[in-house]
Amino acid sequence: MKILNNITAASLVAAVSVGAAQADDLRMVVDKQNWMEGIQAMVDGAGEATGQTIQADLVTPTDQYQAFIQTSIAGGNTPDFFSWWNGGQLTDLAETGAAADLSAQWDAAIEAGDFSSAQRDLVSVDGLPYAFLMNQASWVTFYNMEAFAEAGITETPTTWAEFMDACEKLKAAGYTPINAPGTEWMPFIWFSQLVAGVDPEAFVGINDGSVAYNGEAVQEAFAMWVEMYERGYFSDPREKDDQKFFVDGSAAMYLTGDWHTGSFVASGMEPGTSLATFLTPPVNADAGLSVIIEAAPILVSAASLEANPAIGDAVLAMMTADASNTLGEIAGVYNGNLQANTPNAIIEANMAEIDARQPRGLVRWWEAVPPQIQGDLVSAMGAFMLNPTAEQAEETMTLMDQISADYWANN
Amino acid sequence: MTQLAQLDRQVLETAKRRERSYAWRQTRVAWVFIAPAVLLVGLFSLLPVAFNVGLSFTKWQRFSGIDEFAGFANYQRLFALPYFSEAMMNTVIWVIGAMVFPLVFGLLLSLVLRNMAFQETIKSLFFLPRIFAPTAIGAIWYYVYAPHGVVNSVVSGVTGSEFDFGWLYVPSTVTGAVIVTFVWQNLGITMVLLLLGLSSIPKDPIEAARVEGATPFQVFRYVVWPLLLPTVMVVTILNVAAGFTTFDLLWVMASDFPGKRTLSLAVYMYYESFGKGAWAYGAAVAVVLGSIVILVSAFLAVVQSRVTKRIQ
Repeated sequence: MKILNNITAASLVAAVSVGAAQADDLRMVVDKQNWMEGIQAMVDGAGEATGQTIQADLVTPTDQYQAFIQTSIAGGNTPDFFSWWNGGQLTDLAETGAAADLSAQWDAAIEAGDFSSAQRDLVSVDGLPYAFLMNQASWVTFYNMEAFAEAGITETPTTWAEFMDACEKLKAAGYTPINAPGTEWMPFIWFSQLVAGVDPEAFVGINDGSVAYNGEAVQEAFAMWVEMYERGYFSDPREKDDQKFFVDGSAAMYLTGDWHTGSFVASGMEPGTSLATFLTPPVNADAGLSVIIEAAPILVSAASLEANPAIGDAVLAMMTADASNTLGEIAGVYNGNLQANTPNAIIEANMAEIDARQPRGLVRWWEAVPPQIQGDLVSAMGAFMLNPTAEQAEETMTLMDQISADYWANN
Repeated sequence: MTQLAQLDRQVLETAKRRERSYAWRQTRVAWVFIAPAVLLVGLFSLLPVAFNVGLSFTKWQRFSGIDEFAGFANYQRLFALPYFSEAMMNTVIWVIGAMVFPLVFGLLLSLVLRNMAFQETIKSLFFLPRIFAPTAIGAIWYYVYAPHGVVNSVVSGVTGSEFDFGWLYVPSTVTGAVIVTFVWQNLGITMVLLLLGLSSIPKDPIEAARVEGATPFQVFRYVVWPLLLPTVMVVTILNVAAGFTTFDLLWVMASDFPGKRTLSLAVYMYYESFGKGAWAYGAAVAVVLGSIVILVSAFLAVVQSRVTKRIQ
């Protein structure tokens, strides 16, 4: 009986100990499915360096992730660390007071030469940084080098005419020229590129309400989008696996952020042999070359940091070159650490090309648009991709203008 | 005499006092038993509803505005964009579809199965989909309707040419496609309820009608149908409620449809609140949806009561 009591007591103590250990674990919640392994390795490293345990959890798809974070904050249960977006998305979240001010960590990282003040500005609201960077990416056109060679394309396009010519040659060679997924958030990819390529000022203007979503530049962008669909340049937008047609070799180009390199490589593509990139040329030469820049920030719960100041040390550890290299080596993404290695030849080449050609950097539409109308606008674009006719384009632009006008009239 | 009258009064008053005391004790006992239910309903049903109505008059969106009064602005904005009207129209289609199709097919099946061999086995087969969660059913039927799914493969096989129509991507087919799935899942329960109703109908009036020379249709129209009406009303009320509140099937099956928010008011309410963080606006949609459901339910309750009285 005594033995039984001892076993029971020991079991209870063990159970309580395990429970306590789990309760003390820090939690990072993200929506980046393809990077999970790299993120877990990065947080493991930061945890080891600061004597803490950090568990990375995935919540997808994007709309449900946003709902999860919004309800977590509303319920006073903000995760210790969580991925979010910069721009307008960060502004209203920062105003809640739920996100911690990471000025001390940024000051230390800048002093150590890991990051620059310009990078700090990417995640700042009213001069205060509320996040650290997990990814800093440029949106470029990836292409299948073997498909280009087979289609007889020897030089990557630098003008829109050359780009359209390349599409025609690829189509003639039996390829779908462009992989263009249309599920979840992805319909905005080609909308953004075409509007920015027609008129970058209009691209900025549609996001602050100064330019109408059925204005001249957007009309021109949609006309080009319709024409490209009519010519059969785009893949089926209904495919749920966004990279499927590109990695299986049926589509030759894919406009996306260079953070995608890791998953292309994991699917068997080899940078320099079958995979390379170029900056997408502008539709109007007068518009000048521009490149869309994306930053993926990680925020820290203000309440968690206040309760456990050691979280600040974990943030510092995740801003070091070692953490950047760990994330880069496993997930193939680059968080912008100036002393870290670029994770692959693709990102290195993109940085070099941007440095050489000095395109205008544009904040990605997703981050620039008011978050309250982001989903409605993406859905309108998605409806066009499923029925890419001139009539649907007109309907889509009218609806997008209504959505935008309604928002700006009430905010 | 006066003393006697006084005594009577005293006895009467004592009796009344005792009666009042007994009634009060009874009331107290009743409240002790009722209180938990009242507390639970108040706490978990009425209070959230009142809170939701209050929210619909605020400016709460995403992370701010819960303390700002918006008046009727959220209700006025319902028609600023086409989404609410589209969601309302689709909800009407849903309610009609959910009310009519399971009832018609369920009734046909129950009439056919009533005197059939292997009735129990066939009933179980039709009832089987009902035991699965709607999300699981939705996930399976998503692939039935997928561009390279079962339906299109059959059409391709029959026509000999590739057919990859997006049933769940086109506004004109998505609602119908999901209603078919709903009917498939709910046919079994409707059929079982109607079979129960049929089995409770006494045989005498049916036999009397037959002896009088009534045709099978006349027997059904003038004898079976009126006696089955109470069961039909129960089935109708259940299916109408399901039509108003269907969410999971739509959310899972039409996950890639760009206009999925407009597939029903329930989906629209969820999307606005939890997808966009437009909590106050979503609360206004919920108030409208709730009001419609209450009105329709009240109407059906009145109809049911009249039907019952007529039969009695």
